[in-house]
Amino acid sequence: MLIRYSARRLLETIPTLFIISMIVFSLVLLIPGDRVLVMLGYSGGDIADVISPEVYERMRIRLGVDDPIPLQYGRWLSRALQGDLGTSALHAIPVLDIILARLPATIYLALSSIILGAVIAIPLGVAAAVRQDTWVDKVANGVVLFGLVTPGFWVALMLVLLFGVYLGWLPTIGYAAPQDDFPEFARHLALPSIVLGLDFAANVIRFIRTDFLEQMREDYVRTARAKGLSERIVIWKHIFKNSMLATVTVLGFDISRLMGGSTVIESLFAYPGISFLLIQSIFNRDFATVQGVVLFLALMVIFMNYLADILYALLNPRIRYE
Amino acid sequence: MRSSATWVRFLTGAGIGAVLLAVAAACGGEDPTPTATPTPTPEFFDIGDGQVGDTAAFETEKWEERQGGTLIFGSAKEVTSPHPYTTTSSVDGHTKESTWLEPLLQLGGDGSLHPVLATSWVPNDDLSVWTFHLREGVLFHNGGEMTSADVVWSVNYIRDANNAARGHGDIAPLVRSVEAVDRYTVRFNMIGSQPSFPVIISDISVLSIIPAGSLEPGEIQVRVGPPGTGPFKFDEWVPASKTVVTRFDDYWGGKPYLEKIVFQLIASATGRGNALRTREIQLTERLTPIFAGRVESGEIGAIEVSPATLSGYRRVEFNVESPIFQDRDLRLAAIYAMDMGKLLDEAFFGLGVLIDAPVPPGSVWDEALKECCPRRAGDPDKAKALLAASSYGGERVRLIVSRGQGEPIGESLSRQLRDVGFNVELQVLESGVYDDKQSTGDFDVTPHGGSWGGDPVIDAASRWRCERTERHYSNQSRHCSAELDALIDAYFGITDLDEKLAQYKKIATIIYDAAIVKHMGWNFTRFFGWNDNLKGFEHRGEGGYTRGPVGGGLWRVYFED
Repeated sequence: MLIRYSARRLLETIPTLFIISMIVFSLVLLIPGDRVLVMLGYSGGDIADVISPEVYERMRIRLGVDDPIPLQYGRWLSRALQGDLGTSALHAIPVLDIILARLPATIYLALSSIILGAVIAIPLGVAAAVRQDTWVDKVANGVVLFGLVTPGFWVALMLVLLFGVYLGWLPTIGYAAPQDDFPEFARHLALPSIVLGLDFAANVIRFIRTDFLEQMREDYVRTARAKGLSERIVIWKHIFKNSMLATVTVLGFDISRLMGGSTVIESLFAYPGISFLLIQSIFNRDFATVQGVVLFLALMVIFMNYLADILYALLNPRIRYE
Repeated sequence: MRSSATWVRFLTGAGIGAVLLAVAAACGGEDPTPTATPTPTPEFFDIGDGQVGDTAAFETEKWEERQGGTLIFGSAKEVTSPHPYTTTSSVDGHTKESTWLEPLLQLGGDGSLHPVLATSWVPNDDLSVWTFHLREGVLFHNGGEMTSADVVWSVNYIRDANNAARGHGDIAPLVRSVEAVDRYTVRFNMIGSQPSFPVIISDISVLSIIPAGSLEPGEIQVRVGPPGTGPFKFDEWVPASKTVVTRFDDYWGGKPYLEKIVFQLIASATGRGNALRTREIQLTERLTPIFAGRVESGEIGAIEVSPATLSGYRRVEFNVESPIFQDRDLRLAAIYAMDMGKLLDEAFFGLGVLIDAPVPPGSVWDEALKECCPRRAGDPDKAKALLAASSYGGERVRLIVSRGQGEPIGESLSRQLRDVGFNVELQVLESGVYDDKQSTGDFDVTPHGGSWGGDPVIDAASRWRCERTERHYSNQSRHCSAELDALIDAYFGITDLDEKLAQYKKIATIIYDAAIVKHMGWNFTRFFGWNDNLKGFEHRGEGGYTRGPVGGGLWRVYFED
């Protein structure tokens, strides 16, 4: 049954993907700027510089930018289906290669942030619910408030000043590959992970606490306690599993968000991830890269939601029949 | 006070060398004698120490004790491609020019031309033929010797429109043919008289020399930079991340000290400042005035800063084809409505100097300008009177600015224009939209930026000629004057300095009378910063960190201790 459910959900993503591909292609066409100028090296610069009209016209023909839009879309989609997201106008490298080169850094950052966030959020969320209205709950609420109302870039700057500038413990820019130098990798990952992890934790604590409180009032919990089960088993075996449904949803969204939405943090830490690539590509009018990255991130969102759906079914077997 | 000294030196010499280029050329690039009187140096220029760094001659005997180390340079923008003939930003060009690519000659910080790969450049009598003698014994990074064949190939590659070189628009209209006279002599046969040709090709984005055949026809994208002749060799390029160069031991000017330079992209100015403080980077650019002020006050130690005083000027241009500003009186009203001193204060913390044209204050150009075109200072009463006498009925004035640095300028300008009675709609636009609107003329008035090019008439030729009014061309005002075009054309045939200045005054007068532009000034919002154990760093004030043997740049940088 689970396999049938998974297959059905997978098939349902196909029209979504098709629509997304059209939106991504069209939106990028709407971005102001001239891709011919980009190819000629005039991205985001002063177009008052001398440009040869002869060169410009030849490049328009060469790039096929005057072709009808449906034809351009068909060409792009056909290549994308074969794994060819085009070539970066600026960098002369296949967009997929650029994305894949940056993917590990982004995944490491997303994973470390999630792990750190989960380590903070799960015990604190559960404790806040179990010890509702006690000092533990107030601490948890404080963490949530701090995480939600404090801009990530401010937290990042404070951490940089404290751990980078004043204490000199951690690097403030760059990235090191784990296979090259693991301790350096961990050190470079620390500050951006803390910033994103705190934000993630603040989000998740709320859901865990609320869900936990709801579950604690359910009949099955009363039954479990009436059966004489220990409080530990009631909390971690019965309530925790059922309260994870909403948390899994949040996780799915947040992982997608962390993969593509940490632009400010990646820029501040000069961290070579996909978000930083996206923002640089937008500034540089590198249309092919923008298209490729946005499509890739959209796929990530769909995939994470798909995974969340499967997890739902695993956590609650009734879902697959609905 | 070294920084002040540089500024004064620049002011005294700026521009003279450019107008004397033909004379200088005949002398093989001798520096002209400064004659202009400098303006007082703004106090803020005294910030830091090391505007010019160690100006002592390169001391080869100290190479052993100074050599070594990796410099990590925090770049504000990336090198978008290692292709030698596509340059997407000034940072891109500076990076290439300071390391692996070199021009035939270069415009020094004092405004004069200096030999690089060419040792002399001599015109014929009517300036229709330029003969360049090349430096002998210059090696490319691939070990081959640079000869006239390489120069001819490089120039012809750029001249071919199919290769989409950035310098095509500069070189193709000027050069009829180029030929190798002998192994070390190249002759350029020009289209007509071209006295400014050496100045034009001194720009690295126009021409650098690479080995013949190192690019395929039509190859506009490369992943590996072709060999150059600079003090550092291209090593690695990671898109949107970093560019790495290593020492070239056979550099014709002598071995550089540093083993390696990593140009690390750090887009955030705050990130660059913090990384400098933590010494993760040792040198960076485009630091903010606030950061520089904290260094100056001693709040941040062990760092030196220096302003890029000529990194950019600002001006406000009117679209003379717009329904409102086709009326000269309304342009004048707007000009009188603008108090540029106030704008400088509001948008740039007062860091800068006022100007009336894109020339360094105190230069011969500036002096000439004072004679022909007195400054139109802000005068709201005069503006109101002009408005009252006009047919202006409160129509919407579209003031467009690009997001970012354009915003405070736009806010200040719109307020000043509203104060005298203009109905201003400030449009803060994303840069692509902004570019589109200004190239299609969909605006009434807009502020622009630019940098010092060594000769204001080169700038005028690029900005105000009739042929430059088309889309993607640089005459955003759409002002077209056959008389102005003729004066500009004639200017480039003049070699005598006094005659040139007289001609410049005529050109400036037409622009002034047309009331198509109001200049604000040089704004000093960009600062270099470096760790105090880094020695020998020089820059030219315009934001670049070049140049090899002439101006120091990164070639003579070394770490103390």
